[in-house]
Amino acid sequence: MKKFWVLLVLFVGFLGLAQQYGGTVVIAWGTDAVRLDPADMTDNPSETVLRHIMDGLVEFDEGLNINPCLAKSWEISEDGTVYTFYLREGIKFHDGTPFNAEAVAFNFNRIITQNLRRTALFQPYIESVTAVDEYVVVFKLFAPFGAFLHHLSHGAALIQSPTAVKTWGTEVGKHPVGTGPFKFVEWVPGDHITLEANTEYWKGRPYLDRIIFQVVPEAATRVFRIESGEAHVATRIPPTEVPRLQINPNIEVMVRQTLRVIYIGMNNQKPPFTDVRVRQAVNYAIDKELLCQSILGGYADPADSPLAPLTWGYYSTGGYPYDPEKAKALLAEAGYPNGFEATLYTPKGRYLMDYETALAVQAMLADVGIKVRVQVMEWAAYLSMLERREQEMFLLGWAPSTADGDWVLRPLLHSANWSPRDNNALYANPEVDALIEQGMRAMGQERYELYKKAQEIIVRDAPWAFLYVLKDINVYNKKLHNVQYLPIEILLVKNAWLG
Amino acid sequence: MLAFFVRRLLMLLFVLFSVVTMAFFVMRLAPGDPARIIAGFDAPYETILALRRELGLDRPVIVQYVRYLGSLLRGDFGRSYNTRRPVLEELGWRYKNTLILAICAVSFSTFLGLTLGGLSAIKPYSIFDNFAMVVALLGVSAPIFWLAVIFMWVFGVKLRIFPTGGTGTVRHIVLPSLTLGLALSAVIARMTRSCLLECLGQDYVRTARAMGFGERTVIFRYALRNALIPVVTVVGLQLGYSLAGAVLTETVFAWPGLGRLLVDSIFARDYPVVQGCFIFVAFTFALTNFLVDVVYSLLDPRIRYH
Amino acid sequence: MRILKTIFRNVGATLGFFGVLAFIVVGITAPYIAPFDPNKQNLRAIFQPPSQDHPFGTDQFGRDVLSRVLWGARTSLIVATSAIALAMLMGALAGVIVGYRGGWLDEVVMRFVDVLLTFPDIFLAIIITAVVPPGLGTTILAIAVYNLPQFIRVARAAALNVRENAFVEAAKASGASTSHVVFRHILPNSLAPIVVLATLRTAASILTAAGLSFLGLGVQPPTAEWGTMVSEARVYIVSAPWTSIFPGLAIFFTVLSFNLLGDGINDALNPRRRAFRG
Repeated sequence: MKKFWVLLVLFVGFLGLAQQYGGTVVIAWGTDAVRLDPADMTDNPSETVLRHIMDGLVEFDEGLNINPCLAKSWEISEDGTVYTFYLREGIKFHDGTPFNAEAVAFNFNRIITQNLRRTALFQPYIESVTAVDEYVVVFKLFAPFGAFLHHLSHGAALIQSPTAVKTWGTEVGKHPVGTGPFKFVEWVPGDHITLEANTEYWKGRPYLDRIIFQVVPEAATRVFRIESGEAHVATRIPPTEVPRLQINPNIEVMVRQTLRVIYIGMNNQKPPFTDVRVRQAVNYAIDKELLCQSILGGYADPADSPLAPLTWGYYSTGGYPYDPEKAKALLAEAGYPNGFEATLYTPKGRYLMDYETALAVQAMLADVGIKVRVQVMEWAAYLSMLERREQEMFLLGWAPSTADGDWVLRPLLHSANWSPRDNNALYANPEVDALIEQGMRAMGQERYELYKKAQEIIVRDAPWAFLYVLKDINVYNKKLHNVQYLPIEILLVKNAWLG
Repeated sequence: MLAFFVRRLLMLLFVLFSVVTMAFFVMRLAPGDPARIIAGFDAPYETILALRRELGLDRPVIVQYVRYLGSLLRGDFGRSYNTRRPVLEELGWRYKNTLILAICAVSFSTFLGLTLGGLSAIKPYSIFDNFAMVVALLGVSAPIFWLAVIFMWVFGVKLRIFPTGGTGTVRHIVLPSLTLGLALSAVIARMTRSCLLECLGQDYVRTARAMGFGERTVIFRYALRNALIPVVTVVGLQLGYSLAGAVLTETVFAWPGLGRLLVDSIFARDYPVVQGCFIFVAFTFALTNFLVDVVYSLLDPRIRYH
Repeated sequence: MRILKTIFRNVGATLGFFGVLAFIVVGITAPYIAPFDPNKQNLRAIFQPPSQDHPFGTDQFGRDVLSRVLWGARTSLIVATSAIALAMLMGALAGVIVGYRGGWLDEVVMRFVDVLLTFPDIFLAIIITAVVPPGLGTTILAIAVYNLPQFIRVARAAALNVRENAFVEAAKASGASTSHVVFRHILPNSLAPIVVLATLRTAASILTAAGLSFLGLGVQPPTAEWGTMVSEARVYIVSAPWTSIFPGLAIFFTVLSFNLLGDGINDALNPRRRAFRG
């Protein structure tokens, strides 16, 4: 008898969980895509849509491990400069064009020879891409580059149909054609993008019939949309709304770690921030734990490195604990017993609770005598301000879109990349520069050791006040199953089904 | 009459030219580099420099201006920096949306305004009159985005009568036009009331009354018809304002209209789109004013223009 | 005095009068009557619902909402009155002068006004805040510029009206200078509609300031300002409604009071009612 009940429960459970085909999923998100051309887009919405339409040679899983996709295997030469990819056979693009080595070479030759928005992600490293056989393609690099597979997992390395590129020319960004599980249907700018199932998909047809990405700029409205049942997924939810959504029986709250480190940069070339003790004092004076718990509602973890824990190469340095007394002592030692005045620039609404954090930090620094004036700036003006090197303290966030530490350390902390490039703290340490350069050429464990050393030195030098690593809050209707999330802030429903 | 039209048309052209020039230079005075925004935050500096060249932003401003004017005369509004789509394509659909929203909002506010204004004029200075005027004032006194959020929560989430935003069906337009219309109705209500009161005091109304027509006939046949003339002016002006002034409503209800596009484009420093939006808004605005004048002169034969 | 009497005969206008008075008094005395420092954060007591200690609850930083609403009156008072005063001063002067002088000057100024009026509602303010870094001064400037053309129009119309009057003719005939005629005769007699407009525009300006804040271009934080408060708290409308409802109501009642009072003055000055808005 007992067995029967167990079986019944299992059976009912199976009915509830069984993957089902069909249905349309509506995703409410804040911003519209810009351009659906992988080589020529830099925004998160475009990448999200494209990752449903196209595949890459390799792909990230939810843990950011790199797995085969259109390439079933690959070999790397001894010296690390030649990558040979063996492609899957018999795959066709949505427009019928066969997928082969020619198509791959076409895509990468386009990106490295033209001036597209993602050209710089490949051009400095790739010397040539050649189709040596119908299904074998060879990438030759100028020099060994440890993060190359990460770059190939990037959205910019998604493969699109050469026929579409040739047909549409500069308009290809409106007519994406890939090999992926969903086909592009229509795009009404500012309103929605519709995709439909590719029933011929090489991994088997996807469960959903249609996906509609709908633009809903206001966070409060997105929350309403999911509560009213008009949308199945709502992205970027304010932490304060989570408790209410959590008790809603129809809604699943998905909280995931991202790679985004939020920090307050200090101008290392401008007094008093030229003194490392002052920069350390700022780090000690900020109660990161409290920031995470109150302002961020628990949806962030204190940062102890310029890298986030999920970024390749992260090393836990321990960071700076909250210690206002030590901060005061360091300030006195540096010759500022009564603190000093400075301006803290911050964007507003760019990152979750960005300006709220700046205000809270203002209050914390006031406790150790540092009088900070918070200046909110509109994003465009903010970037120009940084470019002109007018900054004293500035709040920023960074998430490497390749998920690799190289794309944090090199642009943000190498002395060759001072503003107007991205090293806005104007930090310079020859030792760190050398470690970053060696890291580019190294592989595996050796590379990790170099990054570990670099992180130790950087945290000691404290060019920034390391604040926290953001989590991303997305919610979806419980009818929807198997929603996936890549920590590079990409939400995927390509393998999801409606129950 | 012809001279009047010609004069007004010249005026329209002058306004458009000023608006184009102003939008062009003001945007370039603002701090911020379009190439930087478009390239994306983590873009390498080389990409930004290349984009600047590609967009022609490395040329002197005056050269850019002359080129822009030249292409405008050929009917070419340029391409969006951001999406690389032609500006007209970018604007067209959103313009239609805003037009729909504006027309619905104005229709609603006209209906509400005429009702409130008419009813209070029938019994001036009564409790009802005061009440109606206060109701009309409530609409203009509440911050529109606050009202929008509360409406959305009540009708969209709690009662689930209307969708909380977006486009598609007739039901989508209800809440945004209600919110926007409420703010506009006050002016119409007050205009209706005062004009009606004025007309009711006129000789011909008194004559009509003396001749023994019923109160209803007096109001509808005589007073209202004449009172409507200035109301038409106000309605027309409201249409122009709401066309452009719907930014806040459009934002909260995710209504993909022109106002929202303009604000987004200003933030993104997408100059061609900003300029295009301004031309469209200014043109519509000037055109409604022009049409209002025409309608006004047709409705009231006493008015003749010099 | 006669005006006040007329106002007090009207219930709405009376309420409006006291509403405006309360607003001004709170604005001036905020530092003395607010129970807490409006900027004092308490991150361990965020989003507290209304209680005895915090009658309006606390916000996302644990700041006392009541104190911020009271201080917000001060900010709104400063923004709205200085913006309108600025617009009124410049607009009335310009309008009266061109109305009186007429001719090409009138033509040029009025075309300029036409162009300004093609930038409806909040757009002009957005453009200004895009060029000048946002702040209290910028908000004031933006709102003043937006209101300027309306004052020029009304002042000009009033001046045109007054100009035809016998006493102006008399003054001109007696050999008075232009500035004498403008300042002693035209301006004082054009004042009534300008004052009504000013009252009504003050109401609208508080809303415009709120709208600017909503778009992230308003008064700089952490200054307590109603518009900023509502727009920052709008995401919490369901989970912590007090953070947006109270400043929202404050805007609402203040704007309502100004509108009621403006109407009252309008009625008192001009019983046949000419609407100035549109």
